[in-house]
Amino acid sequence: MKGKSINRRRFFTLMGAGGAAMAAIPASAISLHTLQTKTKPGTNISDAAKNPRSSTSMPGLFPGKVVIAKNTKSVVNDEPVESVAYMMLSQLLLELTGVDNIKQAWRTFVSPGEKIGLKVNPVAGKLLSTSHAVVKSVVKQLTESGIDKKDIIIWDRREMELTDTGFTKDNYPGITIRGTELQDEKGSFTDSEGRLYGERNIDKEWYYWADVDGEYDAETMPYMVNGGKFSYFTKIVTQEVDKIINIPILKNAGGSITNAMKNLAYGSVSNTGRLHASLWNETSAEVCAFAPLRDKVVLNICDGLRGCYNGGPAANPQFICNFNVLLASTDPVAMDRIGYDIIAEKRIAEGLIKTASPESLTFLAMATSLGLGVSDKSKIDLKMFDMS
Amino acid sequence: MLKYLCVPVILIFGFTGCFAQLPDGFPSIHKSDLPGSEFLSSRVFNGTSLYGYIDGGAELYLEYGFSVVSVSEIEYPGRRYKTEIYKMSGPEEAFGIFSVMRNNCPGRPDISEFTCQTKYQLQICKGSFYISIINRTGTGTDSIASIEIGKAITAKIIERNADLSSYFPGMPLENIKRNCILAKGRLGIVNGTPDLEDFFQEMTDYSAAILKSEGRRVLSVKFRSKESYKKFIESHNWNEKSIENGGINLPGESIRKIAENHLQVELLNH
Repeated sequence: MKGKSINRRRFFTLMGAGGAAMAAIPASAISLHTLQTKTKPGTNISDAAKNPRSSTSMPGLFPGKVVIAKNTKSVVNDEPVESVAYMMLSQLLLELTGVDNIKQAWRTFVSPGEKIGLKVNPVAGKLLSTSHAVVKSVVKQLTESGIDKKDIIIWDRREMELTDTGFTKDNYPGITIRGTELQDEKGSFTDSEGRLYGERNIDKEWYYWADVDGEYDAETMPYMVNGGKFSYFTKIVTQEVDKIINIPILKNAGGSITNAMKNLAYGSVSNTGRLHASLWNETSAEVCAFAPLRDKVVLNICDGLRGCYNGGPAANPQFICNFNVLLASTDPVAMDRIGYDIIAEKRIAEGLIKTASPESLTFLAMATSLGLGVSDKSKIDLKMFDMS
Repeated sequence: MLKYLCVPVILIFGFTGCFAQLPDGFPSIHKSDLPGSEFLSSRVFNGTSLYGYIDGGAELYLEYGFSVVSVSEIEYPGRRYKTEIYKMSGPEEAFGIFSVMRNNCPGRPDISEFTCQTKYQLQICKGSFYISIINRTGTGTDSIASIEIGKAITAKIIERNADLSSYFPGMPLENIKRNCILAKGRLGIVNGTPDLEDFFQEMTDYSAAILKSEGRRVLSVKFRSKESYKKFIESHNWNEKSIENGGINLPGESIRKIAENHLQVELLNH
């Protein structure tokens, strides 16, 4: 929500009114949201609909379409292979767009002169980060399609995690590397006036409000940027990029999945600590419904060359495995739904669960009700290519 | 004067990346504990600043009862290892984290009662500490070096381990140590034994020790209050009086009371 169009007092009035706030939500969502508000803290999700959708809004150009490329040679000695990832990526783009050359396929989504943000996921460290094999393949194909390197920004929430996992200027010459939260060369999170560097990078015009207070001690605050009930969007998404290509890694989150939606939602706003315990599903779906993400994410590429089936979202080596797949979709909801099946199949094979339970993926149902994509598998157009 | 004082403060905080301090008795290791090693970096996260290290993964540790973690990158000798030493709120909480993190342990080096070694990781639980030593290349040399690092850390821990015998009175302790999952709260269940998530539904106020064997699961559930105990019984439509009077046997499950607010449930797999 842009702060200018609704002040805080009026916002609370709306929240109190309840019914008025709900009026902005599609009819199909009413029952679900009514159910949620009975037991869950309120949020400002109704504000998301106040910005009109555009032609590129989620679920993008190909709603409900997911393409999977599998190649057992994509990981050798537990290291993703860039040349194989490059070929898999080409196949995905051609199949997804239906055009016959790769340059044209990329130009379906992006154009020269646009600032392109690549949203990676380095949170779990070197062992379980979006791979360089995939990100370098994306960069290579973008530049081969006429995108200037200076217009490509690799970003995530924490610049130090990007550095730790090798997303550096040395590894990506000519590409901008950006994080919302950052430390200076001395390791400090604050400038000479004691102000968090992260504060400079949040956009207070855009926020996700939830009726849960973020209360953090001094040691936690640098990772949250601010406390209270507002989670502000990073300027990276609101001001610095025109288009976003979302490149999550395939991971479980308990019995659920952290992939396209979660990568976007939790990676784009501040003050997230308060949102894990009671609003995980809501946050994963609702933050993506706000215009900076809803209208800018043009493509999702799931890095499933390596991933984890248990112990996620943190990296626990014994649960990290080679899925040997890449997925592509403009529809993050459909991609997460298919990603769930891949992880569930592995969890069943490992004896962790007996059957998959996609009906438990509340955040996908919520995202569907918000018009962000297709979660009903029977309505997903799934194409799979084994390139082994 | 103040600005001169600030310089060392900034340097100390800056290089550690945060402000947290390690408590007395924390088993920090140094170069002198591991001849031939180089300590490349060290960071400390306590309380909710754990979000700054593992983001959403912090929830599980916080639910169990987390105090502080020290994360170090070590070169030893010439190979890189990441050590994570988590101090939990007690030995049972440390064992609980260990129990949901271990899986199919091909190696159990004899440096603590509770160890689990896989290709890329050595996990150890001792006292109130859960320790993870991660290597990058998965070789035999890495396994040996990980054990050396683990020995150096555990040598500094003098606390006693969790006493698990009360969960399964009369059962061989070795079986409990090797196979038990100790879940505290919903995330413990979801991570340790997700097939039982529905069985515990919305319950939060309990510790559940779970032993699985072919065809059956034995659950020992301790509740922190009488209300939680009753709520659990009611959620399964069991008869409390029958449980109090020797237990009940139902198709596929049997339930008996072990102690005050403490149930043992045996489930036959379907």
